[in-house]
Amino acid sequence: MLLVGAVPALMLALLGALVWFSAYAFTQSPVTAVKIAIGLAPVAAVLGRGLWVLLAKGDHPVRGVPVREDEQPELWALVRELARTAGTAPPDDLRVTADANAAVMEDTRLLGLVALRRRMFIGAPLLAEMRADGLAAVITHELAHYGNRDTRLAGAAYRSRRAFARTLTAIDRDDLLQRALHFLLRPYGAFVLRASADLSRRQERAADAAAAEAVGSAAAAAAFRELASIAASWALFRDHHLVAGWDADRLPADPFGGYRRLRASLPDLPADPPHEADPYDTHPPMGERIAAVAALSAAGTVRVPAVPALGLLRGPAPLLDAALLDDLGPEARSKRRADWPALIRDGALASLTEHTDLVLANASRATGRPPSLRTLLDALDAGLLAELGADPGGPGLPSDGPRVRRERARLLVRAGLEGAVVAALTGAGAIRWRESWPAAGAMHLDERVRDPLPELIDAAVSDRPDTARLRALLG
Amino acid sequence: MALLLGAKTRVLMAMRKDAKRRGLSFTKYMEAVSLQEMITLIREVDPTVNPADIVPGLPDIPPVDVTRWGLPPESALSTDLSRPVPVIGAAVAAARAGDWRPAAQLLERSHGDWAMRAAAVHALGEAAADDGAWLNAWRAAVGQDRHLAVVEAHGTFWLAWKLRGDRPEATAGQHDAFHQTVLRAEAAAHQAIRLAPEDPTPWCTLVTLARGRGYDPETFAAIWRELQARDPLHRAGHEFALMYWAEAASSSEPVFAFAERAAAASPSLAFLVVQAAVECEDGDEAIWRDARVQRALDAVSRWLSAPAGGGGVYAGADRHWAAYGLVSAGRGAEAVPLFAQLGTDASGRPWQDYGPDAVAVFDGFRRRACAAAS
Repeated sequence: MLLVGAVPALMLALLGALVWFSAYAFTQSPVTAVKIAIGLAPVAAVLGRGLWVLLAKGDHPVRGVPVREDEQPELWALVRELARTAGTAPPDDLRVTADANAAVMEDTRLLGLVALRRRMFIGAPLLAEMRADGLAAVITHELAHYGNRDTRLAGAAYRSRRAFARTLTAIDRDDLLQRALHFLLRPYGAFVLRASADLSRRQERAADAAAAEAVGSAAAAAAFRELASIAASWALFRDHHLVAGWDADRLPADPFGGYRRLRASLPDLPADPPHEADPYDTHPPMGERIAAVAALSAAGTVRVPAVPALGLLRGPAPLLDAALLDDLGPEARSKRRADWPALIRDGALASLTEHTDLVLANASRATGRPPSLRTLLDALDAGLLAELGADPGGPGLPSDGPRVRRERARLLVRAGLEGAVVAALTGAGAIRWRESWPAAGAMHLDERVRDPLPELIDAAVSDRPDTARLRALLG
Repeated sequence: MALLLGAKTRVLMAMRKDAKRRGLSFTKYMEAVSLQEMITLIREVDPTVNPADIVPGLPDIPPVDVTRWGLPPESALSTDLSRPVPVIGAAVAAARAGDWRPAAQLLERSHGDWAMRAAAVHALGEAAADDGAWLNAWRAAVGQDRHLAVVEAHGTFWLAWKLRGDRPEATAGQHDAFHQTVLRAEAAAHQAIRLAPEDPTPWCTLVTLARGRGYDPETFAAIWRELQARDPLHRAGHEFALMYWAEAASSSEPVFAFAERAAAASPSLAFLVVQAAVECEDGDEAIWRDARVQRALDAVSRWLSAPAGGGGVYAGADRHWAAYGLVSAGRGAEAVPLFAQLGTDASGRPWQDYGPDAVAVFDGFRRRACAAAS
């Protein structure tokens, strides 16, 4: 704590000294004083701005969907009971997020020395996938960090470390001053974090022990194992599957059903996944934690039924969905909902037809006919590849030779044609899109498509274009 | 007023003006503007300043008149790969004019002279990537042919590079185009290998495209063995293999070990240690003071003063590496005669790595050499 407080104190002292010096200079010689003040103003500004960054409340909007006690009395009751067991106050605020973890945070001033409001965050994937006793273990672990089982100083150190980590993340912005501050604080921060690493590991073990005592060793160990598996697969799901239809303005109608199928399709992860990238994370390795919790052989003091955690919620689906939407940002609200096969189809077609409109428009301009796949094929047969591949916004350079220009045109037309053909075959029912976990989806061609599609498309855009087989296929 | 302001301030004002003219914010402008444009702008403001003193990160270009050392002016410099070797230059010029026969004759003659063949295929490949008309005419005239096949394969790889563009940032579409075309180049190289099993040249094409194709070390080692079996001292193969290892290795040590082993086998490969230093100079500024690099610079200089080295197909290439290395190592005065021999030729590596700024960087190194000699 002393370490964490030293920097702002020093900055404040220096700022005070500068102001005092300027004022003193004024009483001696106003002209010299003005010169001095001009010289010192930037330094004072830097210090003042730095102090502001350090002392101001983090202005990040609070994430997640707030859950009132009257809306979810069972969940709140469980959290209250677990807080009691962990020897700490229950949160003032409970929120469901789209993260694959749970957390307790406090709104603080003065680098975490004064706590204003305690918030608990529970990740929607945990609610969707874990059992109630496992979720209770995770929640107890988080609450226990704020309990008085450790010394008071340890509790404060935990808060300070969080505050410091937040400061370091917050000031890492694209601005010279902030970079300078970051440069100054980072080595110091690393020192503070290292100094408290051992303490921190002890605290993590204590929090794990609290979780085991609350729900029993077996449930806690199972929960940690499952938490690691959820964390790994959720990142994959959120980055790929959840947004597979984003460009087509689609979101899954049943996201968590898809997530469950994704998890089932993934191989079991090793108990000790590679360490997370967060440099300020001081959790001991997962394997060690699980072994330590199992060794306690605690029976558990809180009665939590071994049923799905969803059973704790009233009307779970809208709540989990709201948490996802909150995470995806305002744009997500305008997306239409689709079942998984439709989402896969629309997402794949949106990405495959990225260049199709441009190429069809070129075909229309080159032939004077309406923009259609047939017009495009006719234009290819007429040897208009260069015109079809005209791309005013493309990467072409004036120094490109004729072959490079032609090849660019061919690649663009190939992409546009492929999109148009796949869209037409999808419309005719010759291509179907299916779920194919853990892949984002798969295209299935029926017996009408005998030759490999890439071969037909290559033939159509070659220097001696052959569109006959494509035409036969499209009917 | 202008006299009162330092050159730095005037350059900054000129940049703001230029940014405004282009309708960009200053930050956006600094991202968009190329090294060459920035250097031109600085020269317009004050031709007697060194750009490196004005904008940190710009090349160190002392305000020296290189023509006083007998070097051609910057405007005369050329990056044309085919120029350094006259027979190759003639074949490339004919090919660009639509006549494939000099190229075919050169490749027929050079069968067995693998160094000449590799250099010819490299230069002809670039010409084929720019304009394939002469290649089509050649194919129409002879059908399947082992000489045509090696040029087709290497030319397709050049095409992939040109589709990607020589700027470090490339769009997803450019990357896709590159990868699709590299696959075609790989297939074409295997076709050339079938037609000429004794020829190391298509294996060298595979070594060249190894990075773009993303071969794992085992696959690469298998290709490397085939190349070595056909020509253990294959110059171009070693150059591109070193680039592969520089990208695949996590430290500079295996790269230097590869270079030193090759350099020990023949002085014709001594340049590889200089190349290794170039590959890792971004991460290790002290590399140019390394004793291995200093020894290699001496070895390349000795090799160039021998008839075999100074008169070979790759004499120009060796001079480029040596000149870059000597200037970087603070031995610029020794590089002046090399630059004099290179004349207007600013082609190939390491300059080529600077993309559109190759000539500017080459000229900057000449000026540093001359500044060191004065």
